[in-house]
Amino acid sequence: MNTSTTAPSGHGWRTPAVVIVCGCLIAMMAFGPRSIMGLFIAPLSETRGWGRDVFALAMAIQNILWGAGGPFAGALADRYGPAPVLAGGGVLYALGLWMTSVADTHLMLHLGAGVLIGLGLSGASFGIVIAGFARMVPAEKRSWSMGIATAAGSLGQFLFAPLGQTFIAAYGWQAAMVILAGSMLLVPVLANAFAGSGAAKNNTVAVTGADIGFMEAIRQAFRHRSYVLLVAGFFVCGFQLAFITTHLPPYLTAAGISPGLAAWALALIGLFNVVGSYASGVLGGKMSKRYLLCANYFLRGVSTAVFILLPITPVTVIVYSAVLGLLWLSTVPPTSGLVALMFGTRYLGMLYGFAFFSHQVGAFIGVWLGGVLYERTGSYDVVWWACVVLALLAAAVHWPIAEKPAPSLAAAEAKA
Amino acid sequence: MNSAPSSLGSGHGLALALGAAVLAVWLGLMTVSLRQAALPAETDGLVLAVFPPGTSDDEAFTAMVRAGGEPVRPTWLGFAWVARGREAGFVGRLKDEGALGAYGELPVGPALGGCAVVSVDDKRHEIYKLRP
Repeated sequence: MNTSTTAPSGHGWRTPAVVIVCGCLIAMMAFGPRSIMGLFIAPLSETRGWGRDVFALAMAIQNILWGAGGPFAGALADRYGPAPVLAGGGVLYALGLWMTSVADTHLMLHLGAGVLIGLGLSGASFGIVIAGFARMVPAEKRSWSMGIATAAGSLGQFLFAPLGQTFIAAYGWQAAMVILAGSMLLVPVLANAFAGSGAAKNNTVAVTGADIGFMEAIRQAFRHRSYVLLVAGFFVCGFQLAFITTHLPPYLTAAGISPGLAAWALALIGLFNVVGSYASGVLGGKMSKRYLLCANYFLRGVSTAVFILLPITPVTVIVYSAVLGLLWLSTVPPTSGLVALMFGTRYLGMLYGFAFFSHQVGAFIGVWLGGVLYERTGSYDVVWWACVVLALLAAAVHWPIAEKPAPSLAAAEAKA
Repeated sequence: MNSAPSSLGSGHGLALALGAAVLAVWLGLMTVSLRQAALPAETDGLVLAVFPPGTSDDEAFTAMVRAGGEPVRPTWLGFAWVARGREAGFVGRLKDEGALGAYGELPVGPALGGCAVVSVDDKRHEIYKLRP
């Protein structure tokens, strides 16, 4: 492969281990606060006298901008290296949290919780961390590094939930949000570990992939059948996760499951998610990523079908939660790994960003459809079965993916 | 490329060490913030009494009665009870009887965001909310 071969620039402390630790902490911190934003709805709405719709619109803006901003943030990271993008994302995220804590108009809330946090997430979430790892970690550890970054993000949301709730109880919601904002200012400090990994001056591991320009890279990617299939499959991941995240607790309690067990179900998903994400990264370095994704989606479909066909009991809830947790974000390491394999690491941030945008569109539709169909039919059955069918379709969609560099990339490199 | 690859080894040790360090910091932060959130010793009225995990219902019941209060109801979190004390200093006496602390409200519950969505339906959180 065509690679940048600039000599190491002498930043001796930026070893792969340091980069991994700093990247994981960033992924953890970026994932944590946004996963508990829902906890602030009630106190914020009560304090300001606003309806829930005001906060809901801010969250919608946040999710859209996170998804839509992904390719742009990725492109910036590909061009200038992950460090400034992560740092900028961390600052925007902190500003957004702070602004949300003091917002006294709808516009301020939408700007803070919506625009700033959304853009901050684009720049400081694990997509950029993964792109950075791919450039700074040896190729044989790449899949593992993607797994540990995803696991760190998962652990972040798991640990931030009780922490954020206790902060609110101890200090009040506004102070809790300011504390979270302050913690995000650590991101620019940690991002320094990624300095010097821009396309032109890589310290540790060569940047791979032909230097064909962003527009040409996008054009080639979307002409490559395997990439399009991968992006389409990631849509299903978003659909399922968002639907289950939003609608599983009320589904379980409506089925007579106690709130305590419903809480444990979510906790189990979160906990097993950490294990599953990490294991997926490890396995992705040893076996076919395509088969891993096929197996993941197939198991999601089968386990969901079994869960909704059997009577809902504490045992089925616990088993399903554990299985689902193992499969939850374990699509991320093989998906990002396949993008890197197809097109190299030069445009990984941007091309993974497009895949993630597809994921977010699926997430939006999963949540929306779940609510709409429940209101119309009085049950979640239709969407549960849609999850099953989509999972099996996703497994089929991943099967023909060619697990090798894209032909256009090889041709471009031969020309270079 | 340089020799850095070998510095990672299998990577599992690094993952475990990082996880352990993060958990240690998290436990420290939780301890501090839980102490801050606790009600002062002189408080009376309806409170959420939290006992050490593993405390049996009988032990918790006895502790609340000995502290001069009455158990109102258990919560989904087995070791947390809603209790009522009619005299000042109820919370202090609860601690003397073995409670870890007492709280006005403890919205403990998991949040599952994935990378997909934040639920704006706060009824979901109400399911888990622990309040007297």
